[in-house]
Amino acid sequence: MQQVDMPTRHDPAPSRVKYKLHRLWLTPFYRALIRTGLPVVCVLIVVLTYLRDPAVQQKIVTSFHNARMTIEQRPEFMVQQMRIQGVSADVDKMVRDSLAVKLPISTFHLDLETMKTNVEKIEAVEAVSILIGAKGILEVGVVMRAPALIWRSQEGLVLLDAQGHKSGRLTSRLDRTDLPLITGAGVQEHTGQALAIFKKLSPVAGRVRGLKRMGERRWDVFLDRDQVLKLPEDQPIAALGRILALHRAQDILNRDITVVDIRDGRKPILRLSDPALDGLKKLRLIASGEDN
Amino acid sequence: MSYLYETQRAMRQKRQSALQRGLVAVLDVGTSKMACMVLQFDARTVNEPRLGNAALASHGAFRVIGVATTRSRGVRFGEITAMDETERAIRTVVQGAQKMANVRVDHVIACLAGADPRSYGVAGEVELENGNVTDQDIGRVLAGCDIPDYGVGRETVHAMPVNFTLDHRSGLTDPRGQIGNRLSVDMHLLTIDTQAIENLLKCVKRCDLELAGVASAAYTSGVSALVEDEQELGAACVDIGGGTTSVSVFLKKHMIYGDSVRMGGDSVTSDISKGLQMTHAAAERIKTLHGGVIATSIDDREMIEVGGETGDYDHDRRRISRAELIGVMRPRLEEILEGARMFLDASGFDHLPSQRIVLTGGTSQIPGLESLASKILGQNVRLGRPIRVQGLPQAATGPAFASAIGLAMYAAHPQDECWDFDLPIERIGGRPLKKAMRWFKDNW
Repeated sequence: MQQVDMPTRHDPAPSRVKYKLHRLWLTPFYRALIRTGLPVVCVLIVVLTYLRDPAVQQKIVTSFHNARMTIEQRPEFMVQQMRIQGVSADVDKMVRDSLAVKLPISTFHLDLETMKTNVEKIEAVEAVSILIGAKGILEVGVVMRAPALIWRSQEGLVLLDAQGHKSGRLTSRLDRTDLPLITGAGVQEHTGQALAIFKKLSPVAGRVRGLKRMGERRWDVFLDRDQVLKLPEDQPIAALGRILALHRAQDILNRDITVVDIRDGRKPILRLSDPALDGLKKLRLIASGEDN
Repeated sequence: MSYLYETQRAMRQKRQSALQRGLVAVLDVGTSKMACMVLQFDARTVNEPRLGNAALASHGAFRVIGVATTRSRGVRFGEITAMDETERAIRTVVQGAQKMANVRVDHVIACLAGADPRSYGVAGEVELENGNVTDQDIGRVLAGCDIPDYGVGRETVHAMPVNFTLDHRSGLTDPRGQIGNRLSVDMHLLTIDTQAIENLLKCVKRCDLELAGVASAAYTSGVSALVEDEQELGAACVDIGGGTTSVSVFLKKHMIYGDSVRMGGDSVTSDISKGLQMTHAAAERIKTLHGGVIATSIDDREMIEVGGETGDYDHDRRRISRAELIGVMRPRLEEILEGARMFLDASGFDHLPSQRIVLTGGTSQIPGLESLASKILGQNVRLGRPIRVQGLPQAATGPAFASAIGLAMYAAHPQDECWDFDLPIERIGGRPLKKAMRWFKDNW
């Protein structure tokens, strides 16, 4: 007899798990998680496993450095020479030392700002401009300070420019006999005054040994033969002018006087040397007729 | 009453939160077919308790975005008999609707056709406190209705205020703000078996869904199949489904009676299968393709292949005339319609101003049923198809979907029920904080 296979009725019902998964899939949050979160996580895992190998890391770092080097060392970016302009020979050496550049060098390794501040730290340098010029030349333009005074201070012999900035050292006064000498503490703010005094002293220029700042407030002028001109605190130039007028009229500075004290400002007080004082006393006795 | 009030309030809360989210599913648990629709609501439609029926014209506020149907399993006479089978069927249908809608739904409003619905008309009366009707007074009068003793194991699914009377003026739908001394209300109460609801609740919960409301299929098919003036003037909706025939009577846009006959299209099919000796599937096929209720002379000559798989040639090659088929189907359909007639008589349908009868449901598509029904139920019979709703595919617009579509409309525009109003405070009790608040409000 022929086998009759009964048609089995298929139940279309989803299983409970399938139903729940479908509902989960329809939830917007999980849907976003599965559709974007999962692929991102997978890719991240693959990439991170690859990157965890130290050899790979080494390779990446090396190739990065190589790429960087090739760009940096292109001839367009290389500095071949350095030209320093506007300096004397000894300052040129100092500038080179402070720049500390080993040529040839890539421009990527040059920090022009730092170099500039380094050079400006040199006392003799007033201003500097550093720029990378054409054909890979590092142009260093320096403006030197012009020394106007020699300052004998605790540091030794210091050169000062007209504004009072230190602009160099001297080992011996004899190296720059053309510059006037000042001494005493706190002179740097008053170099202008000092220079004016020196200018005013030009009638007796050959006799001037130097200026000394007294008590950081006024000047003493030292002449040869140990003569001292004590100037007042305010308007020292005018006071000096008065002394010089006296000198012109009565030639006092060539006489036997040790100190001209005009600190009062209006009238000078003269101090004679001891022999001169004795002589004066004698003359007075003679004049009064009491000769002994 | 208080327990019921709380559970229905909880379901109402869920329904409201679902409407706030704008997504809710409706589930029609039928005997032969299970249908699920996913509804998308416009977020602006707020769901305030309001008196009177919602206008049928405003059903455009929601849109059907997913529909699925499946053969029902484990349901007999509109009641769940095998939980696992039913659960699987609900899973199938919900998943299908979700797939079509491409959204996940969490809240389900279900309707039940069977479970022995019983109607009660109850009345309540209160004296008004301060001369005009407030929300409080309506809550009071609804709470003051004398609830009949409907027995243990029954649950109220609908408690709708149908008619308000203020002093001597009757027929008010919304008495709020009106002046009067005595307010009385007529309320229609529909109870069904608790076990049926609990089984449904359990099935729905096992599908990870939450039940946000329960309605009677008798009510929902009336909502969708009756047009507005039929509901207003009085009409009966006879929904002849697979396992049950639901009867509901509407007047003034309110259901005033609902019941169900425990017979339907499946009874016809089993009659054919028994009487003409064929398989249930073949009987269903023949009923759908060749069924009818009025035999004419040509039907004697129209022979129908029965078919069969027994292997017995004579049995498998049998042919029956269509007249024979009609002869088997007609007595059963007459019996069904007589059952409906009995309920209509019991409901006082004869006294309604208009006595329109609307046949709907899958079995109403049998040719000639209309004329048979007019002989049994009355002259004024028509076949009703559910109202069109937005987004519904053509396949789901037939009369078999009347209760599902009515359920969707009920979800969009629920009629006011007793639990939509706040009970008076002294009835709830145990809310000292609220009492204190009220005392402050009254005295400061």
